[in-house]
Amino acid sequence: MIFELLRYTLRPRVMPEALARIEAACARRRRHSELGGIWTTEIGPLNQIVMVWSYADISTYGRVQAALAHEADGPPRLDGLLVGLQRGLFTPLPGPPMLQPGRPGPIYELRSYRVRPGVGVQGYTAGWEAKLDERLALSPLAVAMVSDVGPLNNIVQIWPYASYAQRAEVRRVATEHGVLPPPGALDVLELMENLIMLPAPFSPMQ
Amino acid sequence: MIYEFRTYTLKPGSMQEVLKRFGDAYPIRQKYSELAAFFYTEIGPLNQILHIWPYADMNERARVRTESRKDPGWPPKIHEFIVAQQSEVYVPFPFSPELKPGKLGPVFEMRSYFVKPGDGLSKTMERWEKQLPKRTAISPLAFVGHTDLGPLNKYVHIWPYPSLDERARIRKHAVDTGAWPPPGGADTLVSQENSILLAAPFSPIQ
Repeated sequence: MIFELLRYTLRPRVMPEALARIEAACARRRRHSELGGIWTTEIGPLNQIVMVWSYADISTYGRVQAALAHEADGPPRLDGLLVGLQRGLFTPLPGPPMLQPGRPGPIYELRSYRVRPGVGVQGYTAGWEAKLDERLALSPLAVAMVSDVGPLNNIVQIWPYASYAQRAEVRRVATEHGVLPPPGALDVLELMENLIMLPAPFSPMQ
Repeated sequence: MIYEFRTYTLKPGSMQEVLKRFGDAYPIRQKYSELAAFFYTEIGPLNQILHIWPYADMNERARVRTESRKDPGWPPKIHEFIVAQQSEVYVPFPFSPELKPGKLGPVFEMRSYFVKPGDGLSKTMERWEKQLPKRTAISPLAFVGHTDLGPLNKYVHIWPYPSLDERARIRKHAVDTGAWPPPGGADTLVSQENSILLAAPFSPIQ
């Protein structure tokens, strides 16, 4: 499985317009590959749209991109609204089926970590796997993945919560019980950031 | 009055130790001048501390910093944990509240906006002054000011909330009732980001 993480940065105050244009283009776009979720940032870098698309493998990704390039009506027209665009390809970390449509939100936390170059993501993955079941017993995971193309050594996780209070409680319990941070993680992580995003009305994950 | 915002990025996993060492050394530093607030990040770039120091002016800042550094107990011994340091000096908007000790939070949202060079800041101040009473009728503002040193054409505002869920409710209410944001904005704003901060145990503002 391959995940494509797209982050659009918009000019301030144009979000409704951009979402309307993307929604209009999305139905057509979703014939080519699966949309895991589409969100807008609420806390963190603002005026961003975050999307995750999934593909069976890298050759499917290539085929879809080629097909999209030839589509007459192409991607959504965001000229005049867009100030930045970032794309990365990721492979899943070990875990349950990811990006399942449903309503586990509506508060989504995206956590992004940079692993020290040279130590390899294995330094993180072993601890992640060891504590995964215990962590998932507390709250579900939307997706956990590691970069394959784009900024490397980058781990991205998206965690849905019913409320901010639930998020705080889950993280408190996980920390107290030694589930968080995963064993060994602090030895290999270099930079950590998170953001809160909310699902667009037409996101398959709500 | 000026406020120096010092932002330090720490190694993952070192926050508790840094807070302890800073808190232990702070009584020594307090002999020279007091903190306005001491925060650490909960959502946004993680592993960051933000200490805010008020001074009458830049001369007082220089004098206090020179004197305090002659004291063997200052600065706290946290160098081994610091990955990056940034200092910015802010001038409060004329109508900004003072950052005075008290119980305001415990959750603080800091919003950082870049505006267009030229009249971006003056237009912002005009609009804010007109609109702010409507917004503060709903929930209080802790601080708003613009940079004098550091990245320019930037301003930050800090909003305390009893909880993140309450924050979401209040902000929705402010938007729904037209109390906030000030009209305009699309013509002055360049980029926006926010983060959620929590107060360290020794922060004068809680």
